Amino acid sequence: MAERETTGDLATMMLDRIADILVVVADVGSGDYSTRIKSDLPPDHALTTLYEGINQMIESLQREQQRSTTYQAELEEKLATIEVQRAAIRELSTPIIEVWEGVLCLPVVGVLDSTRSAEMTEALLTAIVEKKADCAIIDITGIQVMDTGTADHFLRMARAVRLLGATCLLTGINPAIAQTIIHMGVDLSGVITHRTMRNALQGHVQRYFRREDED
Amino acid sequence: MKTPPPSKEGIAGIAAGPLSPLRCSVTHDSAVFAARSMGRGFAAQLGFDREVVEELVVVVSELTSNILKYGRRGHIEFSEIRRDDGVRGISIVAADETPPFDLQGSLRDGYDAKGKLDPALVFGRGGIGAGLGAIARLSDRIELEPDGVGKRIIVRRFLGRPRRGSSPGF
Repeated sequence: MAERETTGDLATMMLDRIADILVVVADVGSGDYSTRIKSDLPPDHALTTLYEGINQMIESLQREQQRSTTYQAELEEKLATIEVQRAAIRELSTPIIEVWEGVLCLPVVGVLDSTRSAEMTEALLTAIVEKKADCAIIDITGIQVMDTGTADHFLRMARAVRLLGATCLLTGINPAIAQTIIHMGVDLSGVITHRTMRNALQGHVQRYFRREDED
Repeated sequence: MKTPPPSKEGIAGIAAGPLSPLRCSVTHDSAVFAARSMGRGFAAQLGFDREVVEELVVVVSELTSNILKYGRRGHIEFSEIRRDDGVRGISIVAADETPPFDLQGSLRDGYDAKGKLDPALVFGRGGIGAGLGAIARLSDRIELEPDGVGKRIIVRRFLGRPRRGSSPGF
């Protein structure tokens, strides 16, 4: 009889302990990593190891969560930096330089994408009108790669300049780019090119003085 | 040009070389610069001449801009390949998530993804329709294969061939 009572007590005790564990596990499951199982058992009790194991697991979950929060904060900071840098790069706008009376020069450097190309074209056309320029020299010495997209941007820019009644010259094409343009099969024959800006200016100035003489 | 039947790994007779493959993910405009730089470095390491390296950079630039223009997301993979006769080369693969298109049709200049470019409508289009033709002229071989819901464009060029002429090499 005594044995059956002990077994009944043991079962009840186990169920109670299991209930305690379940409560804590449920808390952890809903995101509370600060909870721990309280143990009132002696250290040599069979369930003590289980309790310690569960608490250690909750602790490591908590550490992971803290690490994850830190990473998230760092990531957001880095993303903000990238946005700022992107804006700074956009600020590196291409200057439009009046190199001679009525002659504007637009040096283009780096990678040309649609946004930058549209902004440059708008700035150039505005400058042509403001300065009453009749010649725009687009210098591409600073362009390392000429693909069909880039060529397309320049063709459109040249077309827009000509629509305003100004001449558009392309200068700074190096031999490598010249070869690649031919091999790509892109037709830049509609655009007047000079090897250097010096040549382009020389040509323009000669024409200018010739016109002056004729007047 | 005889086309061997494509195997699961790609074209039979072209094995992978010792240089580790590189991948550049393409999800944003800045990828053009990144892919160009990666391609330039990889091609130079393989031993291509400086002029040919720049031609390959143009190929990479075209492929990358096309992904951004039409595929929006994808990646570029660079790997070393070796022909049957032992000549080394580069394989540039552009993978994206848009469906395959008619490669033969698009290789013609004056055509883009939507068909023949009407000069009057050129301003509405994204480019001059010469990108794929340019790629074909600057490489030894260009192929397109479906890849799940998307596609892969595989471009190959081998060492030793001189600079490209202006006739289509395809």
